[in-house]
Amino acid sequence: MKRIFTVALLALSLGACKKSFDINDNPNSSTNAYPGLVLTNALNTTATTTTGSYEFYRFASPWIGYWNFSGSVSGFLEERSYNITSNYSGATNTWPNLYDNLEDYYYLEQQGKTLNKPYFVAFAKTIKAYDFQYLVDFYGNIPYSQALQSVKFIRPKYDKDITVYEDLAKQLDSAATLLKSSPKVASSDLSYDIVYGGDLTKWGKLVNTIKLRLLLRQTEIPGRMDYIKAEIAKITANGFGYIGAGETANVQPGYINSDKKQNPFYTQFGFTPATDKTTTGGHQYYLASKYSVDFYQNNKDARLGRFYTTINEGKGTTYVGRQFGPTATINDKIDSVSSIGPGLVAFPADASKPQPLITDFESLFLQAEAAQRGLISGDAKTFYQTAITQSFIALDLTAADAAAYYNSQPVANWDAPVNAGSSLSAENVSYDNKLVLIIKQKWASMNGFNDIESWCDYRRLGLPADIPISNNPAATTRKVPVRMPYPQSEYNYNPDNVLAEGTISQFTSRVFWDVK
Amino acid sequence: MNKFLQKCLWLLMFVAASSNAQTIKITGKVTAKDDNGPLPGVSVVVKGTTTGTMTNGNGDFTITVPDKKSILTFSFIGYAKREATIPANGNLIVSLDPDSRQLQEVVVTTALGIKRKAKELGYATQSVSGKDLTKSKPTNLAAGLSGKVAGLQINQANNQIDAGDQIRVVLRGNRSFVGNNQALLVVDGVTTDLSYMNSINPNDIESVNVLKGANAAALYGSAASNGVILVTTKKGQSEGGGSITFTNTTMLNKLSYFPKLQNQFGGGTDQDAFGFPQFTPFENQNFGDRYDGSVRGIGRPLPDGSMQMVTYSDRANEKKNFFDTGLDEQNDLTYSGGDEKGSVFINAQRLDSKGTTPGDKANRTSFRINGTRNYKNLSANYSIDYTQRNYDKSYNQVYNNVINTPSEIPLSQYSDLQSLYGDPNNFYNDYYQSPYQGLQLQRQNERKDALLGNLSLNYKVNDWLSLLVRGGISTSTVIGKYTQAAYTYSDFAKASGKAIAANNTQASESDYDQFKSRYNGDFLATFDKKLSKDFSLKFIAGAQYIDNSQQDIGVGASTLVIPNLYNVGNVLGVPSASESVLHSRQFGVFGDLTVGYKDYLFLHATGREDTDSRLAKSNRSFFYPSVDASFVFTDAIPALKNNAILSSGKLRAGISKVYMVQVDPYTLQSTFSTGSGFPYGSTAGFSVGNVVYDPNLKPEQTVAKEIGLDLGFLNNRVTLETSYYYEVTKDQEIKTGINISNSTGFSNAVINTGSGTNKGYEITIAASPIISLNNGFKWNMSINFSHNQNKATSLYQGLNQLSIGSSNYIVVGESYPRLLGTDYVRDPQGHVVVNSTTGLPTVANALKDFGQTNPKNIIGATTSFSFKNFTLTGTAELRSGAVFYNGIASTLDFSGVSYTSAEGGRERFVYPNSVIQTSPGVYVPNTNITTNTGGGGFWADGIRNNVMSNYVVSADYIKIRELSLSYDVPASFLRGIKFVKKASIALVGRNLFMFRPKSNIYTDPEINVGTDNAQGYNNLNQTPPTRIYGFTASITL
Repeated sequence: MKRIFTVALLALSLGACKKSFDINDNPNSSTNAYPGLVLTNALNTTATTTTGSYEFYRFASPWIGYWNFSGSVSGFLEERSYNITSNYSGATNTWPNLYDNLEDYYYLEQQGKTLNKPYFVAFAKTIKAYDFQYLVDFYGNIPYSQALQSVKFIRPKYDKDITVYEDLAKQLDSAATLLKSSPKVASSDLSYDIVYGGDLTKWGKLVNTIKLRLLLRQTEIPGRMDYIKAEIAKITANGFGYIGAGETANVQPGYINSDKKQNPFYTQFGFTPATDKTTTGGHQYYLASKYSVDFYQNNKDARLGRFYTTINEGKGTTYVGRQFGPTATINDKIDSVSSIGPGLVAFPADASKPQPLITDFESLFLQAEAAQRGLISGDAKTFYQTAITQSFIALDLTAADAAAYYNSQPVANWDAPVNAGSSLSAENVSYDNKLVLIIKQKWASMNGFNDIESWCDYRRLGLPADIPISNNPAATTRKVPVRMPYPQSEYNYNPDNVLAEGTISQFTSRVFWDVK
Repeated sequence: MNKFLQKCLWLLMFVAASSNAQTIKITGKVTAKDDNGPLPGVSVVVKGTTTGTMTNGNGDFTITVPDKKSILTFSFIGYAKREATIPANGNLIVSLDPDSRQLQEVVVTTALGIKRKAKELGYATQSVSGKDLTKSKPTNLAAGLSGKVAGLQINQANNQIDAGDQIRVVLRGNRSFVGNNQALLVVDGVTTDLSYMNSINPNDIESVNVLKGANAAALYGSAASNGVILVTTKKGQSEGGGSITFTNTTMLNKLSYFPKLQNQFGGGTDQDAFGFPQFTPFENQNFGDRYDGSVRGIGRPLPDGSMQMVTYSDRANEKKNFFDTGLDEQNDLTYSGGDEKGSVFINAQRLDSKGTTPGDKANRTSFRINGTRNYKNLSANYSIDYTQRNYDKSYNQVYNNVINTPSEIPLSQYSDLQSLYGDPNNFYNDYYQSPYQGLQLQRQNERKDALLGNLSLNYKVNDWLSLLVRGGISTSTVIGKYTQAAYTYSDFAKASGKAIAANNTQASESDYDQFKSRYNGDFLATFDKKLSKDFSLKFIAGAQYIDNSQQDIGVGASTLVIPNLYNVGNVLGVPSASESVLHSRQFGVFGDLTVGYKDYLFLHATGREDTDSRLAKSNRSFFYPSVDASFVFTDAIPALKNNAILSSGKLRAGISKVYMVQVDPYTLQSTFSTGSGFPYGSTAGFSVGNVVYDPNLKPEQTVAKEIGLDLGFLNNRVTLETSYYYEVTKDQEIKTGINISNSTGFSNAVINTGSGTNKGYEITIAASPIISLNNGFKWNMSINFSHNQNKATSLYQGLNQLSIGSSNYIVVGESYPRLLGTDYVRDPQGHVVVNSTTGLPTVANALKDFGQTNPKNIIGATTSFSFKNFTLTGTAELRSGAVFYNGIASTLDFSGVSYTSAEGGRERFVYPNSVIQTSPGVYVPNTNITTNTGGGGFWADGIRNNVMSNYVVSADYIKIRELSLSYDVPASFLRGIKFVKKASIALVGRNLFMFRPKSNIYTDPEINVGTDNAQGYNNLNQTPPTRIYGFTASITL
């Protein structure tokens, strides 16, 4: 009998031997990752959380006259009435999405330095600037200098929006310098860059285009022109130039028409992977806005049939948009209103198309504006017309269609810009007619590609001036909001810092570059 | 003492009488001298032999003795032992004297199965006998314990068919902020998952002993600070050669306590140009015009142009009638037997359940074999319990769908999907599928197998040393499948504009598989020696080894090629797959020392050193001690001895320290997760995880102090047990991490986070009996009261609040968790500030603290009346001091079916008690500015239904948890049927009544989205509480 106990004791103490407690290595998730793999996901996430996200369209599309809400679903009162709060998901989602994405670039930047791969550092700095810019554009002052550093700053302080913007410009300069001096991307690293396949020159153009966008945002700040000019001089000096025709910064990890693997915009506003054409929620909830349908229709703009379907999901013959504002009725339905069109979400082909971060036509419109303002060299008219052409091409139309449009339609005529609309902005600021023209055509092109840019242009310039304001009875302040409130999570988890920003009003707490 | 122990062993292991030709048959009855009531369960033994029996429920016994000179001994806990000679007529009436001093000899099973005398214990424990547990025939153990133990709070979070898995069991409130606060479950010495509570057959339980505080449980190591529920299952007993008992219990479940709904307005969402609500025939919201009894068409016109015509009036019962009456039928077959060499107890049980949701069903089959075997100095105990459960249920959110249906809709007419209006193409609702269709299309099938086995060998080396080795295994396997059936709408429905018909429903499926195992090995050496006349010593040295592992695998097909072939291989595109493995080990060595002085003063100390694989090498081993003392002053002070009033008194005190590892394995190092959508073909992508970890994470530490006074009066007829405890928990471990600002780059941090205190007191008063009459009437009563108050004293880096999910927060300086949520902007006096144009309030940014979500006070009361063969028992429970948020009410407002939304007649109204700001800081009462709408624009569009303060009410309640009326068939009647030893029948009911404050027009506050620390938050994914009633019949052969 004693032997049994001896054996039992032995078994127990064997079990207790120290080694048997070294079983805490994670078998479920990797605890390290090659930065290239992080880059690949980070780029895709940037696409998924910005231009390919629900958030970039959910409020901007109705506010800026592109889309409107279907009456077949309740809600959307927040968007219709402009009464948004810190719990409004348009405000609550972008914050964590972008900071989470930024953490990946932060890791990439650190690892790029450690592994001495300057191109990784440059890529990280570039898209960090892209993400942070949108954080500022949404929220104004944000955590920046203490952000992304894990529990080192568990409640990061907020930095002034202008300080963030100025530092982003510096980071982009530094990215350009790194790209210039960087060795070629190692062949084993080429495939991680799902935007330009390791083409550092194109990255240089992307860096410059993002910086140009940052700088043009600030054009209306009194006394800011000298700063802008000095910064543009640095861009010019690096020699990369800007994104030109056919150089769209497209994210393409290999989208296919399968669950969770579709193009992100298509996932939100297109169709499910099902073989029979099955619309997603986003596609059902958003229908055409009267303002834009009227614009494309009245100006014989061939893009009408690309941005929108005919009524009843293309089965009808007419194009119908609904006025933004009033509470939708049960008649505001897909069967009687146009919906998001095949130029944006062609079933099923667009499920596998790349997702642009910055399109070539946006870059060309930026250059057109900069040239028109005398900030860069080059012919504003050429930039402008090439931009329109590239917009048509992006919608599977032709350069000829574009030329026909800008040559024959008064609204797009560079030489008679007065037809583009009043030179008075929504806030009664008078602008150069050419600028009005550029912004109007930029607005007509950005539809469904990046509605936030059009919202930002509207905040900056008040153009297009005749964008309809909601007449919803609950919209007591008849004005497009100028920002998003901070998300409720900040009031919960970083309360001291966010409360120090004071009471936030979506109508008056403007971002620094919005000075109207 | 030893003699008494022997008696106990006698009791546990009865010996069958071996009959031979010369024997004499004796019958008799045993009564209690104090009240003349019959005493069941009294041990009757022929002196000097191993022959014996026990009295039955009426105190009657039958025994065969070798000859006329035989002497019978009668013994029973709490009564003085007595011997009697055989009377000439063979009929013996014996009455036993209560013996208060013997009560102190009660043996209690404590940590690790160590049996200790109640008088030695320096900490609080409370026992519930198997009989008391199962009076109302609960199908799971948790339901049986509710209201019966001071300091024990059991929440039934949901009432679906698998409700038994959705319970929360907490002793003495919360210590840990986010970590596990639920009690440890130990069955026959084997630690098992708390979910096993729903696997164990309550009828198998001999007794449950609850070790309330850390002191009592310190030997269990890490999990001990939450207290322990020790379940001892039945051992075989002989009542004259073994017995077979068959029990049938049939219980009905009916949904009760639906939220209060309006009955004035029908389907609609729009208003006309004048703001009058408009009826919409196919609407799912309830903002139509007022019911007028007119005949109206509902739904869209059918292909033949006709419409379903109904009277436009309230059909309130349609919703209640949608749900079925649930049925639980439980059949038990038990064999119990034994002899001097050992015993065996075998139980087989089958439980068939039909849910309240139509089509939901479940079953449970369990087998248990418990045995004991003795060879000289070696005794062996073993038990094997196998349980299989099967569920077939819908995961459709049918309650949400049903309750929000406009009241004019004759819902029950749609139960047949082939019928004209039940056909999904013709179903009236444009936006939601028919609930009947939902139940058919969305199914979940699950099978759970649980196996629990243990073997312990106890070897008595000599009269002061014994050795115990015990091995236990507990495993569970869950296999399940979710299926979504395809549905294709007709072209007519699609063309009609019916919104839901725009897209066909795609078929999909997913499978999940979970395996859990836990191995325990214990070794204990017990030294028990009387050192001198006055001093006794008991020392236990031991070691414990625990190995836990779990694997979860899931695969899914989001679209199936061939509809309704639910196999993941039938996927269109790429299937999803996931796997998770968890493995941890713990090893502990411990010592437990008890020194007794003159049998009235006991000092007890324990120490345990644990090693836990989940922490880094430098932190993985930790030692924790406990000390407690018990002083039986009624024995120590001569003046108090043999007092007529005060029969026993004990003062106790203890302090202990316990470390607990709350986190899962592998939570010391950040990970990278596969990027969403990746891999795209051969393109991989990884993302920095969202959780940041502290590699030097320390175990969570609780220091608990406890004092108590236990008194017995009037020969212990009345007992009073009191405890006060104070616990400090620091280095809190947050299992999923605390939420941190996303701007840190992370969303959660697993770091030691702050500290909290927890204190409270418990009082249990029991009187058995309060009244006892000579005619056999007896009234017993037991009341327990517990008050608990915790407080968060600090968080991390000066943080002042921490979200733990479901709007529950830890707030520094306050009890935890608390419900925090949105409220309106208010003036300094608390009036809601409304806009001077719209009359509408606005939402404030800062969250409002509504109060704590755990009750401060719990009172449980159990009473029983018995008269002759009838016994009426009842258990009631009161809880107070908490609030809860009704997410259900927000949805009901949204759909316009809520009672509140119709109170103002859907007219514009002046927001009650509101003010208008005339200039900064200046507010004037609002007397005339009405809301710009009183219809859906107000109730459904965020300003009302997104604001939590509108739906937070008191969670106080009083529940009648159990009522049962049982009848034991008289022995005199059974004497005619020779093979029947016992028979009883009972009517039982559970949760029959609930009393709650008027403000709570919604539901049972126990209903909750989950069973974690975040409480007081519900939504329409939970079904309403149920009333349960039925009968049980038992026959013993």
